[in-house]
Amino acid sequence: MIIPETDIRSKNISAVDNMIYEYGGGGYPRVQKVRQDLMAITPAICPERALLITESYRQSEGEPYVTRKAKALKNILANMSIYIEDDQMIVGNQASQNRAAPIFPEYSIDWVIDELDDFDKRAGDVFDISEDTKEKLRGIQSFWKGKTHQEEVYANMSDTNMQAQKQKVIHRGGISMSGDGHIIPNHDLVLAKGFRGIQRDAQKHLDDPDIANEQRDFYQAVIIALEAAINFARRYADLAEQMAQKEVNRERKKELERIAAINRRIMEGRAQSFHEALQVVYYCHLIMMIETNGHSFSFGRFDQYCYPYYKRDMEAGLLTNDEALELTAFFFIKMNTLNKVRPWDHTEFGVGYPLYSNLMVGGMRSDGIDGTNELSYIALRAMDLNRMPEPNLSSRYWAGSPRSLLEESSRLIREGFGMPSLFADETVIPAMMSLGLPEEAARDYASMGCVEVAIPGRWGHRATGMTYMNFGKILELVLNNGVEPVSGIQLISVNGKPGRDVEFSSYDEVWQAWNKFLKFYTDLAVESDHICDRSLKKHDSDAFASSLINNSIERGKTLKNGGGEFDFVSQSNIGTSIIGDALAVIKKLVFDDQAITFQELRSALDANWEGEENQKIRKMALAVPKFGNDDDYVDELVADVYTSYLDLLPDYQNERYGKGPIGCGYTMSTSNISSYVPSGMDVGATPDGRYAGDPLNEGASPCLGADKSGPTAVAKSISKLPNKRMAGGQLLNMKFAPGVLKGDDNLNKFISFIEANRLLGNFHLQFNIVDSAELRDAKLHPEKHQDLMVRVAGYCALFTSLIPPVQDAIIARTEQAGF
Amino acid sequence: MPLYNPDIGLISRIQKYSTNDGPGIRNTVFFKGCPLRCQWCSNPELIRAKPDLLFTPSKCISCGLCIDVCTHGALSFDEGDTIIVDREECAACGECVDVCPEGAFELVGVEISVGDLTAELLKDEVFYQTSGGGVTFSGGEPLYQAGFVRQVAEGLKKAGIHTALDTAGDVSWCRFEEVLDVIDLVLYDIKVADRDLHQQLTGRDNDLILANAKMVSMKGIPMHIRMVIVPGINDSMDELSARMMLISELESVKQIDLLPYHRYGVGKYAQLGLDYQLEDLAEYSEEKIETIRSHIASYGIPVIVGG
Repeated sequence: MIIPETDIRSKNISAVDNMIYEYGGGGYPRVQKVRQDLMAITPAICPERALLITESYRQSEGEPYVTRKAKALKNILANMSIYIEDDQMIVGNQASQNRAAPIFPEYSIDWVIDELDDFDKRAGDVFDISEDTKEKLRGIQSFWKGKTHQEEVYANMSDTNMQAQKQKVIHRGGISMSGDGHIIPNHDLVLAKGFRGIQRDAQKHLDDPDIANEQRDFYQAVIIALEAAINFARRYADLAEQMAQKEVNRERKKELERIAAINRRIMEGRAQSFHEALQVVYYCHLIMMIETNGHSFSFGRFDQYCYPYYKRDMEAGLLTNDEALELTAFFFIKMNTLNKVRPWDHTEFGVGYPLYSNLMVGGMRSDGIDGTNELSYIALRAMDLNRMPEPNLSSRYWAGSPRSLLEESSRLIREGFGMPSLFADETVIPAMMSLGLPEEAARDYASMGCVEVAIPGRWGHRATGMTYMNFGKILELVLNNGVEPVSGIQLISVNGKPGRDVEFSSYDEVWQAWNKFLKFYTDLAVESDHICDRSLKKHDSDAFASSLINNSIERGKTLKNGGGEFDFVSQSNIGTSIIGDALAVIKKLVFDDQAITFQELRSALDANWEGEENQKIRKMALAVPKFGNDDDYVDELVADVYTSYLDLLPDYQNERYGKGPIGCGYTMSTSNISSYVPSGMDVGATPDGRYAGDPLNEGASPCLGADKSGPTAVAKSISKLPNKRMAGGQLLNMKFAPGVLKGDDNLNKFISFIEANRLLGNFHLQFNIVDSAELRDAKLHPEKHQDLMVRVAGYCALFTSLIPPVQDAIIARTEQAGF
Repeated sequence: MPLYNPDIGLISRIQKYSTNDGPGIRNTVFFKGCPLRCQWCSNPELIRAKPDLLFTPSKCISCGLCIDVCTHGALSFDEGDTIIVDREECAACGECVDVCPEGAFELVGVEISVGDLTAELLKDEVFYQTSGGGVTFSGGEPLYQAGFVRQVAEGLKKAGIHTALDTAGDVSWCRFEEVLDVIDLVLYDIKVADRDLHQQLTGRDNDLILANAKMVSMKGIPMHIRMVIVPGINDSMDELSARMMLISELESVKQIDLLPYHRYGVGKYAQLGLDYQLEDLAEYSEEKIETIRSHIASYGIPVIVGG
């Protein structure tokens, strides 16, 4: 029982209720200008970080890796170009210009060199690159030979695992060639103590003569990294002072002086104002993204940890709600100056320059009282002004949420750029508790990326997205006795025989084969996770980020070495709905009705449904119930697919097991970003009627176009899945035409729909509010639709930055138009 | 009036997340069969009290498979390679639907039992609860199948679900009596006030419709009047004022749903092999709708555009 009997509703929202705000992105001209300036910039590749880390690593040969990494961070922060944008109030840049992506050669460099001439010619996620930059990057490639994370991973990968990769069952995304990311710092701690306070804690531990060498190295690295971070802020203080001296505009001059003052004293102790708090939170984020190149560095419960600073300023008369909104909007826009470049084949798995920096508002506090406050609303409104992909804004809601939180969330959703996404506490909290977390901790969850959830400040790296498993491919292998049709590779069989001949005499035999194959490939994926994690233990020696998470300082360990308080991971499972739909066809047509034989079905799949007879079979297959229509026959089979994987998980541990953190087990996630598109390209025709190469289903959503009974039926189907065991996140994406939310009456109905999802026990919900005509036009005339933001999967992106097949997939999603 | 079995309904489909047919989130059930022949009808596939075959020529690849399977001789090629449907012969048996590789045929009208329909409608109970919604019986004319509607509505009422009846009212009063005690809200079409004009535009006069409307109102059942307006056809100020005078006398009316003419249904006429009488009629401008809305609103009953 998670609903306490006391008055659970928030009492902190009266002040902001008086503040009139019309959604629609207008007003606040300075915010608009900063936003426009940023939108005008094309992303580029910046070589500075790569050169500076190379320079540092040349000098630190032989030292402990964690020390080398900290010294490199110091060299980068002390020598990289810095600048302050016109009118911006939050400072700190990641590269030599806004939206430029730094390079992280310590993780992988070969692909960068291979793709140097292609970055500016990509079909999506384009990066400008100069000849000078290309030269500089080519110049450092030889230094990194044999030293990178990627090389270490592939030197240790087993042959079977490589074969499974060739079979396209396993995809090692970022984890094999970049840092891990997926961290929500303990913002309460940093805001209260500053980097200096944490540094002092590290020093105290360092002074203990009994510590191990490994701990000593870690504490020294933390001290170096935090000193570097403080000095980085001082550089901005100097710059702001210089700019203030030259500034002619009186107002801006004052602002620059204020920025200088904040950055001069920042991090020496407790944050002194709301403005400073935002700057602190931004520095944590920025420096983590310079230290390592993961993604999904997230902001956690912004309205909780910033609230004391907001409230104090408000009560002292130093801040108005208007100013708080403007500052928050600047803070949000600033996040969009950051960028990450990935190899092209990874880019396809997550298109639209995503960083997945989640920021969460609303929801139950750890004491069981609702936490909604003025800042919850200010964040929603700031997002309306920001209208860019970061932060990935989410609202938590539950029985104790004020209706106004859902109302403002819905108004923002109606604006049509896919935010916020919604998380239902009554499902997520039990899901977290299913991992064995204490209830108070579980109540404090926040999203870390898309839909994966973690406990802010207390969780090691990576809630999800370790090795990707293509469920569609596993089913294809089951139907072919383990032989992968393209590569011809067979690692396992149904009947113990080589070759693809196989016969099933009952549905149960098919199901048993699925379970056998799933276990075989999950074992391999876990092995892959371990190999990547062992390498990351060295290469992700992130003293800075680790120092911001509970227990790292106490234990003297980086997160990858077992520093976190909690540590659970999940892989990413792609195609759960399509497997259920396909199994329903096999069960019904081959076994229940005996309308066709298994061999007839398989030859139709071999022919990709071509030919008159095969088309008839396809038609029969399409008529079998599909997931997303509230039909128990198939919905239960989809639930079986989830359970088949969930039941395997207690047998697996991650690399930190026994090294300190609570847990170190596995959970399940359908947060698979846009991977359902490229994963589908690898899978032949499937029994549900899908053609070879077409996308698999997105997250937990129904297959493309299969949900023909409207959004209520989709919600009902999803509610039959084991959502309260999905601690890694359960993604449901719905696209609504704008008319469905037009006017207050329809908005209220929409809110009721969201509420019903909570009562149904669904985990997560997000919406695209666009019509397909607009999307088609945006594909043809991108120049007219630069602003058009859509939900891709667990994140939002500008539609025009997406590659055409992903654009098509979004257009094809059934439009849930009401009458 | 065809004989029918009150345990089996003939419907075209159920629209879920229906937001414009009464309060809250609703499921709307569309029944087949209607006594009226309104020129502007946007659901012509619901007129006949029998299944109908829809044919979409643009999807047809002229393979002729449908001609081979049709046991009624209703399908043939014209002089070229275009399929012709002989509506006189077609029994809407669905053989051609099953065989067509391109999905050029579609059957409208499925028989469903009281139990199956009720179970289907109960699936969305949680959405009715959170939104104050429920189920709307629409059509066509649902009261053509009043005995069936009654049984389904009774089951819903037992589950505490709000029920709405969307009717054009051109049926004998006993049909209303069969259902009204299990109906919470009546959405009532009053299409034209002038008796002759009504006859001319819908094929029937409005005597029964107006009499039944009064009876519903006298029983005190809440009503929403659905006022369709068609440019230049039934939207003269005289006509609108006359309609409003009639409506004002109905005391149980809580709201007027103003339904401006639209052309979404035009394509269905071709699919059914029917002629569309208002071929060249343009939809309203937003300004014109606002003019009419404000005129109607001056009678003091709340008006919703789109309903």
